[in-house]
Amino acid sequence: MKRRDFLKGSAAGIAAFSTPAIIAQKTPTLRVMGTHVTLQEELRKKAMKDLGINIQFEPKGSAAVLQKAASNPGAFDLYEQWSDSIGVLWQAKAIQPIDTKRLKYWDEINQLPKTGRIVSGAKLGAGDSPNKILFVQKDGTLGSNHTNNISFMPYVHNVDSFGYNTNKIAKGEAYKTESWSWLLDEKYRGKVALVNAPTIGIFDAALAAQGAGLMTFKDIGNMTMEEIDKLFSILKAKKQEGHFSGFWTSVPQSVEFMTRDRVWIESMFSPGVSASKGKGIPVTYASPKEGYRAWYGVMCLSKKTNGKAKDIAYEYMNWWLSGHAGAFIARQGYYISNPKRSKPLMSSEEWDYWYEGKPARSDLKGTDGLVSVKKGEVRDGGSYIKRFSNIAVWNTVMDNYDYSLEKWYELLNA
Amino acid sequence: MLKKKLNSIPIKKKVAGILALFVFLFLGTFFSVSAILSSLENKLINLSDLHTLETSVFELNKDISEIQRLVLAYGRTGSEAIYRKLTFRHKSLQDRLLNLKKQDDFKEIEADISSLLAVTKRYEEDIVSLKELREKKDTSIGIGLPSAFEELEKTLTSTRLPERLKIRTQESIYRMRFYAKSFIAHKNFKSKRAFNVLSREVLKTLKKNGDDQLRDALKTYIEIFDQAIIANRNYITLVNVVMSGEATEFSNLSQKLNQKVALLTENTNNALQKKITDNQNVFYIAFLILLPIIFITIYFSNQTVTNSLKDIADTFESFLKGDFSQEVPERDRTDEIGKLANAAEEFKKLNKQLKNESKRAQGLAQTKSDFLANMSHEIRTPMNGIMGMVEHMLDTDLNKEQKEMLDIISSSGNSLTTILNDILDLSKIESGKMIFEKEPISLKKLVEEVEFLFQEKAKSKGVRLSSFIEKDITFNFFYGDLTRIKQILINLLSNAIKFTNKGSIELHIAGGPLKDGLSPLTFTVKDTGIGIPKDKQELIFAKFSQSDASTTRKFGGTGLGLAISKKLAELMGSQLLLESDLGKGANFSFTLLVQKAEVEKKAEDKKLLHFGKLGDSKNCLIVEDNEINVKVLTKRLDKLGLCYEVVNNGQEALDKEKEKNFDLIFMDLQMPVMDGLTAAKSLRDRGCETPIIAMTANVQESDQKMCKEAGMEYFIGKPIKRELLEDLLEYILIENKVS
Repeated sequence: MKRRDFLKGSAAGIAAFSTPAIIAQKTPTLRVMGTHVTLQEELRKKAMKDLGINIQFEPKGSAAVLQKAASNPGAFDLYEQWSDSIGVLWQAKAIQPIDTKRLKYWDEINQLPKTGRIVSGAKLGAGDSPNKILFVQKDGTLGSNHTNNISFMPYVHNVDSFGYNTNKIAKGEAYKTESWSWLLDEKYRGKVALVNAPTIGIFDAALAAQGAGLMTFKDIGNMTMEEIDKLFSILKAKKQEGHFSGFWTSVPQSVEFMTRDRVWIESMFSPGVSASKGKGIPVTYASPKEGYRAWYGVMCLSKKTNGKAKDIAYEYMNWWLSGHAGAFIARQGYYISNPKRSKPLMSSEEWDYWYEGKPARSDLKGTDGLVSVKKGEVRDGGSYIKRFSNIAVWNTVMDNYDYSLEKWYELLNA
Repeated sequence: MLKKKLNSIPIKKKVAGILALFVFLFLGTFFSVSAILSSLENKLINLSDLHTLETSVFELNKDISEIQRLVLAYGRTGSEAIYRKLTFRHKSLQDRLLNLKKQDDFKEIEADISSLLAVTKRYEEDIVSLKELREKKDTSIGIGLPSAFEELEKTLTSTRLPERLKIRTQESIYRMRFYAKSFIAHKNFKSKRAFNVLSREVLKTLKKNGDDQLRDALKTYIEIFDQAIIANRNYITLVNVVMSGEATEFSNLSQKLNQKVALLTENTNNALQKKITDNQNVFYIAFLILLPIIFITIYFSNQTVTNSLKDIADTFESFLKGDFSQEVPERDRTDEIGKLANAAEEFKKLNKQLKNESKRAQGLAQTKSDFLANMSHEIRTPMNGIMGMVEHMLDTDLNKEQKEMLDIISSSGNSLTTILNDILDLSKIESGKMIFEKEPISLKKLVEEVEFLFQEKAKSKGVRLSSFIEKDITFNFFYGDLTRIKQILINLLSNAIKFTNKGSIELHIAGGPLKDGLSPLTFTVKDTGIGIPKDKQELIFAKFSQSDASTTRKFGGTGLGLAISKKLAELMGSQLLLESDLGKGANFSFTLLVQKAEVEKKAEDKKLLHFGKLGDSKNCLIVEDNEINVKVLTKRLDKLGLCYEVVNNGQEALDKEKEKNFDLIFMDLQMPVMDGLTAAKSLRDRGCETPIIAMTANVQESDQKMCKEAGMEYFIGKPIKRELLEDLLEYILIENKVS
């Protein structure tokens, strides 16, 4: 009998047996701040059930959640987003180091977040690969030298690109014809959207500008001010031509853009692609020949979280790597840092499609219960290894991040 | 076939069926039209709401632009007033959205409003953060950083470092301050990198020289610079990315909403148009259905009801005109019209019967009338003889006994004549043959005459008889039927004298105010006689009735007088009223409404008439076959001093008149060879203008009329009353005709 079931039984059936202490004890609440990508109701319910705690989700757009967490660490216990948050949060001293010894599955986490490479010899993308910002160094800075203190718990991750509606745009060939440059193609004027997050959108835009041959970057993961100026002057001109239909701030919004025909092509996250397909829009998640923009999911512990709250925060982190959540988010195209624990909880068809890049042997459902993969389909970009071997750049807080913020503002209001 | 079937359905059912059909159609039309109208109304309301909505949505865009402007202005100035304005503006935007959401008329845009609301909700938090982060940034850059530098400088001043190193360090921290300021202002990472390089160098140097105090101060400065960067970054991210992103999204959403509302308005317009068309169509359809039904109904009701009714009505009309030759139509029908037709058939049969009966009754009445006329004639003629002879005999020398006997004969004869007249009058009244004359009557003369008639009798009974005409009666002559008024008065006075043994009898005539141009004349006969008990009063007006059976034995009379008087008064538009009680006398009165008559004043006092010398020159022709009558008349004329010749029939009269001119002709009606009417007509036809007096026992109006038509302008009934004859002769020979 599970602890939770026992409590249920005693509370409902054997009143005399139930101890006042259990009743009186207030169920602790964990406050999780993040994005819609991982803050999903099914996960919350499952975690609450499994852990016997209350969980509060506060999902926001990626820029908003970062801004809020950086400026107000008292507002959350756990922060879930992408590795580009780390630079900001760590500098803002909004989060505290996580003790790897308290992470039950730390050793099971594969080498990608620890080394930056999915397999030895794979291309290391530009920008902040997760290994560079994972370990808390002796001087309090973040680096790749392994220590027992980490700035975040590595969990979900993926490579991103853009999605396009093949009803409107002819399907391209992965890694060969599909290109970031499509985002700036005049043919799609008025039907293009970017994500409103400078640490992400700026790379989509930069890859597009570079792919279209409009400019080059010395280091796309750490642009100079001049490069930023040039990039934004290109983008602003495009915007003024009416090239962009919008800048989405959350995944549901990106789905809405696509399903309501507001856009034909846009920066997308994998769940957005699954949801759009579930709603009947044939969206292809591109595998650009220039490589992906990769990201690593970070789960960070608030600087202000201590005591009991900190305990349940660790419980929740361990729950995430215990298999179920990994299997769940696999259905929206995300990988988990310890896939082997999720594999038994997935059907072999699912595993083969999502991780192995094999054709689906049956229709596969997404996290929303709708069929998002038809039998015979092959995952865009192939297997986990193939996809993570083609990284152009990681989501990054660049040195000139502060400068890029101003430029971003100019772009939004151009 | 159909018609036959229709004719077998009762009209009640047909009418009910048609009414039900109309009601059904009417209700159907009514409900569908009212449904359409109410939905039309809804659409109209919807449309007006949509226009309001359009305005509101348009305002949304303005609001968000203004809010963004305020965010920028606040960023530049940090003005509290602007911040208040910003929160106020945001609140009003949110309220506007909440209001829109509350209007549940527009389900289509609910999701859009919710999206907008979600944006403003997030934005609300951002506004709170905005102030917080700006203050943090300002404090950190404007106060924290300079004071940390001041602290650093102060520590440097008091340091025990060698002077050269001190100066070099000072130079370094000034450069650091420059890089810090530069980075914060321009965000160029080169400045930050230079700051970092420099700070690491200085820290290293200080570590080497063991100046921990200065080193800590520098570390604090670096940390505060990092904090300032974060504060600045947080603030800028909030404004530049988060809030700006939300505002952009808000604009996008509201623009989309705008388009949607415009589309909604258009759709509603179209729907409205469609509803109007639907409405028209319902009318057209109802019209198209109703029109033929109305026509069919009219046609069939014409065919089966109206026409049939008209046919039956026409048949009835001809029946009423007495033409029973027509066949009653539609008798084979089983509905109401069939019943009506059969009723008409019955009516026809009954009417035929009735007509026969009526003919028979008319024949009987005629027989009765003829009988009465004949009776009258047959009795009057010998009565004329008897009374005439009695009168003549009374003028001869008689002994007392003879005179007494003759008086009784005369009185009995008069009674008999009265009875005869009464019976005739009553039969005339009852058969509606009574005709009233309209001739000028002298009231004074009338009163005097009737009073005179009874004066002697009253005197003989020792009763005082008087008459009185009220002074308010300003006229003397009025139009009326003298004979009939006189008849009533004579009847009343005769009764009064009959039933009054002592005291007085008064004939009183009262006037009154003019009424519709007519003057009332109330004739009252008042006596102090035996009176009539209340319970018998009604009875005395009945025919052949007196208040008591013994009365007849005691006073005689036919009992017809009052009945006749009452009827006459009624026929003259009056009522004979009685006020009386046993032993208290009686008041009989009647009021006539009369028209004044303008008549030349005549000599009203009448002397005993004698033509004297004039009589010699006046020659009369008497045409009469009855010897007694001739004798009676010649005696009268002798007394009046008139000359005469006698012939026995009309033919002889014609011959005689040819030979000789006469001043006056007395013409009997019923004569052998040639009757009086024929003779008179022949005389007139051949131009004879001599006045002719018709003499007959046939005193009915019809006889008088026939006489007039035959050219006999005067008429005298038999038995001939001396007074009447004298009046007539005076009128014809002296006053009027013969000069």
